Amino acid sequence: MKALKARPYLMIAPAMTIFAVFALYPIIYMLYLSFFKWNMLGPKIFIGLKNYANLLSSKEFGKVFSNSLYYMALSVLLSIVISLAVALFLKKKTALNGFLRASIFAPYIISLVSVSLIWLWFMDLDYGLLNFILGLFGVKPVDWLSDSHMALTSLVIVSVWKGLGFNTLILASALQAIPEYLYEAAELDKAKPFSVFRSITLPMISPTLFFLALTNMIASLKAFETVALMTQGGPSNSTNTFVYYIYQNGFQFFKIGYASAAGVVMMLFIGAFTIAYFMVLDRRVHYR
Amino acid sequence: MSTPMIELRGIHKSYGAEKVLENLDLRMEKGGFTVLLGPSGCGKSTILRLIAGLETASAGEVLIDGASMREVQPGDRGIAMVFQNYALYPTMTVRENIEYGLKNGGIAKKERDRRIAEIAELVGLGDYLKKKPQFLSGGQRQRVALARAMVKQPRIFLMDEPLSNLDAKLRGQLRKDLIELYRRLGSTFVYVTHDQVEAMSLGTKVILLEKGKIRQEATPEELYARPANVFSARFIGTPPMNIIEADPATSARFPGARHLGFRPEKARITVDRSAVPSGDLIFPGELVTHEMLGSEVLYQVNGPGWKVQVKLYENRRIPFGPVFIHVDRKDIFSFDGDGNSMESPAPGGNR
Amino acid sequence: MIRARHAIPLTGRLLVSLLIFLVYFVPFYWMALTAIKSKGEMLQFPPTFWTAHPSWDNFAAAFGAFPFWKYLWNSILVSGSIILCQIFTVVPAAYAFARYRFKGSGIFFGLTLASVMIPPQLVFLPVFLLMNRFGLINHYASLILPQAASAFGIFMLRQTFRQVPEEVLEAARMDKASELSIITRIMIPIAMPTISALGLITFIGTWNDYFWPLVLTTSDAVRTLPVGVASLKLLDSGISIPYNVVMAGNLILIIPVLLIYLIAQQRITKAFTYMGEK
Repeated sequence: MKALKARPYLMIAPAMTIFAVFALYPIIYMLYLSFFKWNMLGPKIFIGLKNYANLLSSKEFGKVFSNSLYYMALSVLLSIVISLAVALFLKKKTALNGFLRASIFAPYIISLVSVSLIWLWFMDLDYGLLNFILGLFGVKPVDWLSDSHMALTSLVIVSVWKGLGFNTLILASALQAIPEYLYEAAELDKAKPFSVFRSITLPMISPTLFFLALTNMIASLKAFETVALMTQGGPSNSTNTFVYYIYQNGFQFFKIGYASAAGVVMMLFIGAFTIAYFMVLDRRVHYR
Repeated sequence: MSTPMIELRGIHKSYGAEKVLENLDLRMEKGGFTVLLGPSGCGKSTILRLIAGLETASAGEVLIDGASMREVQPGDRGIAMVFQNYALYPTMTVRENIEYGLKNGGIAKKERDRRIAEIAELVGLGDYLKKKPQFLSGGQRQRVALARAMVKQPRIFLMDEPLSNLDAKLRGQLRKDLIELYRRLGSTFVYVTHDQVEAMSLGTKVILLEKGKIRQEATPEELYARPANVFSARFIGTPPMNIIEADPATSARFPGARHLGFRPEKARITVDRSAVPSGDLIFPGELVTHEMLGSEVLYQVNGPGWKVQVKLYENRRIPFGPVFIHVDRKDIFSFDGDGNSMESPAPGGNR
Repeated sequence: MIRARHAIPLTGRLLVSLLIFLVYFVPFYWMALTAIKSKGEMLQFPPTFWTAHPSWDNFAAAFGAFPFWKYLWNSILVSGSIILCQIFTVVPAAYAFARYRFKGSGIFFGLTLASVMIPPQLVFLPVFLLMNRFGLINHYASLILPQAASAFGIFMLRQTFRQVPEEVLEAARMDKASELSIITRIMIPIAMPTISALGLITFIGTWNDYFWPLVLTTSDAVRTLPVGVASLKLLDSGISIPYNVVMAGNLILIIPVLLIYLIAQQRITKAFTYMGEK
């Protein structure tokens, strides 16, 4: 094709500029700032690795780290297990199943702000509906959001609830893609349901499971609205996660350098897990 | 000899390390229906695409009506092409599909409308001008592809296995339509196929290719009656010519021959050796199968180191077992050690 | 699972279905109900499941608590502008990556890949500082520019473009089509389903976005709806959190998206499934 030599470059230029400015440059800038002490008004003071030293010795940050880890692990686990069960349950194409699938998808497309606010009210200690319903079954009211042992788990529940629709949708189409004749052959081989699940269904959807685990993991680390609107990082830092911590330090305490260092750590955290993901799980995924 | 419509001179074409065409020379006359025939990978489609300008040669020249096409874009060569998978524009209606090339060529609206109306009438598209390709059957789509090509009034029509995606019945139908079209338009046609039956019925000239080399270039009759080599002999014919390695006994009558060949329809079978006319070559063997194909019966006879098929037009109940195949001497072809025919060329020559 | 039908009896199936439905319906119902309850009724315990005197005051309060119409307008403007920008950044880039071979394409595509992996939650601080330096805070540009290109969109669209059969493009070349004509009359129409799916996903994402507007604005000038609704939490109404007003505002925030969902449900679910099939 006798195209103008410069043409492809012109075509990608707008997008590449945006990415360079708003994705690449910020990372570099953040890395740079992490070596400084700065409060946005005064001068930048070079302090080398002191921010990182402070992070490592900060009990608060330690909590943030473990919170993020816990949040990520629990939400990925719950999301995948529950959505798999639901996807299997709703596998048949009936009107009822279609309706249910549509219903569980609704929370996925509305704002996380909305979901957070709904559950904030829902989980209210004294007037929330959730405790009322539990009360009907004789369960004592649970302090969902102000008990430091419970709060983080509550947030996980909220995000699992919101994301279930998406996960189920993806799994449902993956399940549908499994050729029926595999199941028929298994039936002729007198295979028991659980064995069928383990040797046919699971391997065939393993690429999808891998994909969902990855996306859920990344999504869980981006969680901000739930923390900001429901618990503000408390009680006693039990729900403080990476993003909120950076937000606090950057926009509330104006410790720009320190916040940047935390950002770098978060980035390494994501990077490390992503790499670990690909290395460990990719091998167990069955590709056609 | 007048300027050929299409000429390829010294064409080399490689895809990376793979050489598809090497030092190829080719000429096609104005107004002819040339078929490029051969097994897959022989380079026939490559040649077509070189003519179209969709590929450029690594070396050599492509000339159309004497003019070099080196700097000329595919759209400016006065060529129309019909693709194997029709290649219709999926989001446009039939009418828009046909009109697209005309619009790009700067043809005025009035003229466009006139031509489209004419073509629609000719090819029978009137009923579905407003439909999109996905709603048409295979045969209808091919007609649209044809119409799209015709409406540009090109000097050359290129066709890349246009019928291979259709079922047998439609294929036969469209084949007749193509022949009629050719006769009516008188433009130059170049047709690529791997189906020798198609080639034989459509072409005025067939160019048989194998692995980038021309093995024979002749009219269909020539190709059938006087194959230039073992490859041609074995490619043409349903079923193809039987080729047997010449053994000392029979090769005495064909000195220097490495292989002998005869067409299944020229051979005959008998169990009674004495009934064989003198002068015929005899091959003793064993009858193993016979297939009833309606008007003809196909027999397979196995012998020492060879298998032969015989096509007869009568259903004689020949029992499986020892038989004699005999062929009139004049129906035997001999081929030398290189696989080339040892028959003297017909007057006028093959090429 | 094939013979799970034998494994789960009908009543069990209905019960589980009901459970699933309730888990998803009740929160929504509760939100809608609370939105029309008066403050007193809202605080009743045990709570009422229906209200005899719906109070529409909550909505008025929500409208009055923050510059509602301005925020609404901002949401519309920002979402619309972002989608528009994305068309002009994503379509050409996806086309170039799909159909041209050019030096450095690998590097640039790598940049695109990296951008998918870099979420706003990671880079918001430097981006804020950058915008601040150029005095763009509280300007529409600050909300639009960071999202003016979608790396994910480039991936999807490139994939779609690559799937156009080569033959169709060759036919276009034989039909003397110019590059521009091929892009506008053939490629883009064929890719329309993908493009509209992307548009839908982008609209939903930007409409719902709380993070960027929170971080990049300090005044009402260009703030969007989600930030406004969240601020209802802090409304002074005599109780710690005026949930009835909050839910009223919430309802307003949700309605456009739910409406679109009801109308274009098939399209939307198809769009997200598409997204899943990376």
